Amino acid sequence: MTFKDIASLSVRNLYRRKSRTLLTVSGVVIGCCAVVIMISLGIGMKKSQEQMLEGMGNLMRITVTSAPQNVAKRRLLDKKGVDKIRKLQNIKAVVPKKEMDLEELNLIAGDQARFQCNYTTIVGIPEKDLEAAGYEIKDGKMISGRENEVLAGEHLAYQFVDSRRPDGKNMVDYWSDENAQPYFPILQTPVEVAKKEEKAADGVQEQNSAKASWKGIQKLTVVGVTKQDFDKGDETEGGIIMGMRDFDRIQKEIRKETNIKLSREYSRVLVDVDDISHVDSVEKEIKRLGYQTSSMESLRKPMEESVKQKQMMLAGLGAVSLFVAAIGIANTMIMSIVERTREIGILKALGCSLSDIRKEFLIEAGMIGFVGGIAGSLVSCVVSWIMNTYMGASLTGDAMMAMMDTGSSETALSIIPLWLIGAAVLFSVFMGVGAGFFPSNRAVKISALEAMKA
Amino acid sequence: MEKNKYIKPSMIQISRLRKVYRLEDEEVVALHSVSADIKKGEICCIFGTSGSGKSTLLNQLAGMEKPTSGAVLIGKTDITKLNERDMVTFRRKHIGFIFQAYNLLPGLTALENVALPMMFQGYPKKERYRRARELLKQVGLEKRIYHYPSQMSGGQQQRVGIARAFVTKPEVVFADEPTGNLDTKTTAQIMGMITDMARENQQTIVLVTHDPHMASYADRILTLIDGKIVKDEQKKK
Repeated sequence: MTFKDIASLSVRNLYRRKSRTLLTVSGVVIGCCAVVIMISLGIGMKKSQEQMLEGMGNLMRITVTSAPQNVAKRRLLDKKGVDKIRKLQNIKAVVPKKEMDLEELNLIAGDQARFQCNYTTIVGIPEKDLEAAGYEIKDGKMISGRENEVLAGEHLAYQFVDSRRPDGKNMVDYWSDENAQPYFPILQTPVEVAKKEEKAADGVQEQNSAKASWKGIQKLTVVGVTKQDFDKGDETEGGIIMGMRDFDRIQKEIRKETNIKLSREYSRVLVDVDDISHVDSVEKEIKRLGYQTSSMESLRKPMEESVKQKQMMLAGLGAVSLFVAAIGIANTMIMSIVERTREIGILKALGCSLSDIRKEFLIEAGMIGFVGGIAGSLVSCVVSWIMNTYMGASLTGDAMMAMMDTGSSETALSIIPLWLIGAAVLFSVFMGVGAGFFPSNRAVKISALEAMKA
Repeated sequence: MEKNKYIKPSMIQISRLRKVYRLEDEEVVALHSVSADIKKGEICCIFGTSGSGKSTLLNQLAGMEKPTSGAVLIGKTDITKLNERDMVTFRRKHIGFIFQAYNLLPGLTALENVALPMMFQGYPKKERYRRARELLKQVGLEKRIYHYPSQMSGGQQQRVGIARAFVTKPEVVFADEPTGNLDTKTTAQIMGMITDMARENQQTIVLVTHDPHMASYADRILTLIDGKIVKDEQKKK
């Protein structure tokens, strides 16, 4: 018999017992729908959690720093080390940074060092990695490569003190006044790294710092102002960013001019991983190289675990109803076989092969699963739509959500991706065939003679 | 055909066929060492009262049941040695059935019922329906091809059954009390059809009945009493 013939016999048999077929199918519809909805809730939960985490920072970034001195396997985070990190798998970008805090040095600007900034951070990034560092320019332009061109953090200009104004009134309060302007336009004013030299030899403690003399170390040209983004680094707020060549030269100058000790190591290396699933493995690799790492992974992992648990629970609930549906199919098939014993006998007497008889019943059961799966998926889509429209926010920890106050409420409560529908239909078919297996075996084993006596 | 009567090849060779049923502690011997040789093209009637073992014999011949001992050769195949799967295949290729209770599938039309054995053999729809129509015409049911069994009389149903038995041109057709549920007039009609069809293609018919009337349609009558062949009449024409 051709498959088409067997299938058409199956369809006719199902059609002949419309009401029973319909009831069995509706069992599958409910089961399938339960599973799909439960899983879709899980997916929705995961999505909203992901969105929330994304709001908290770049999930695919690992920050590498050198390990503390007492770690035995500790390696220097130098050029060689960075090259090793660059060679690891699944890495999108590596941005090494050198930082120096200007604690004993100052930034000065204006006539006779009128404007002074007592504390800032200078960050050096290899010229070729500037792009990958992803700084957004708010004003001005990117460093072009000319000597001593730098970017200033968004609020660096406000850090300068006007030494000609009285204490307490010598800084611009940009916190409370959004329209406040800095004392000088930082893009047009040359800035200098300088060392303050107290003239303690006079024996008189001068209150006015303007009397102090300044020893210039390096003149800088601010060509651009970055947009503040702590995700990219604190320097975007109040620091200075420059190419590594300039940075190294300045360090050299400083060493020459002062007795400040400066490390040759990179202070931190930012590693961007290509996919969120690789963060854990890449982080482990880097740790193995002998460095300290930090990422959102430690935060993400437990959250993911808990979502997974919830998902399993939901899927389990759905699976129970699907299991009941499977029992329903098996029951219907057994009933059908008992009822059709005589027919099976006739088929055998007329020479219908055993495998064809088995196929007929399996196809019948599979078809119940198939129709139930399709209908179930459609119903699920409708139910999902209703839930999303009328029930609102996701199931993810409400407290978290309130805390974060990010846009995560935009995620749907229930999400049904296409694969879920495909999987649901496929699974329903398999379930049907599985449930039909035992009954179909029974049908094959019926003796033709006994069957026809019935 | 008549001239070749004595050199007709064998179609069914039954040798020392024995069937014993075990009922709790009791053993019931349904067939005592039955032997017979049914020729190709013969219309052979197995005649006996109820309990004579005639149905048991038919079941052994058609391979519906395994004998306790002995052999049944159909053509060159010993069907007692076939397993169920091969037996089904053998039936599909070589054997047709006509039942007392017609045994049509209730969900199929007359046409589909007749075409069923050809469907099992894997013929395409067009071909099997063409052949089924032909057969239904032969049994005078050309106007009822789309009727379901429940919409037909007993005689009509049995005519469908006959068409179904002959549709694949099997070498042997077994008929188990084919007119048992029919009136005298219809019986004559049905038997005429069976014998006509068989003679047309030189098919062998094994007819089981308890009705002495029916025997008149056969070429040969084997009378069975208590599981033994007590009489083997060859009819001369």
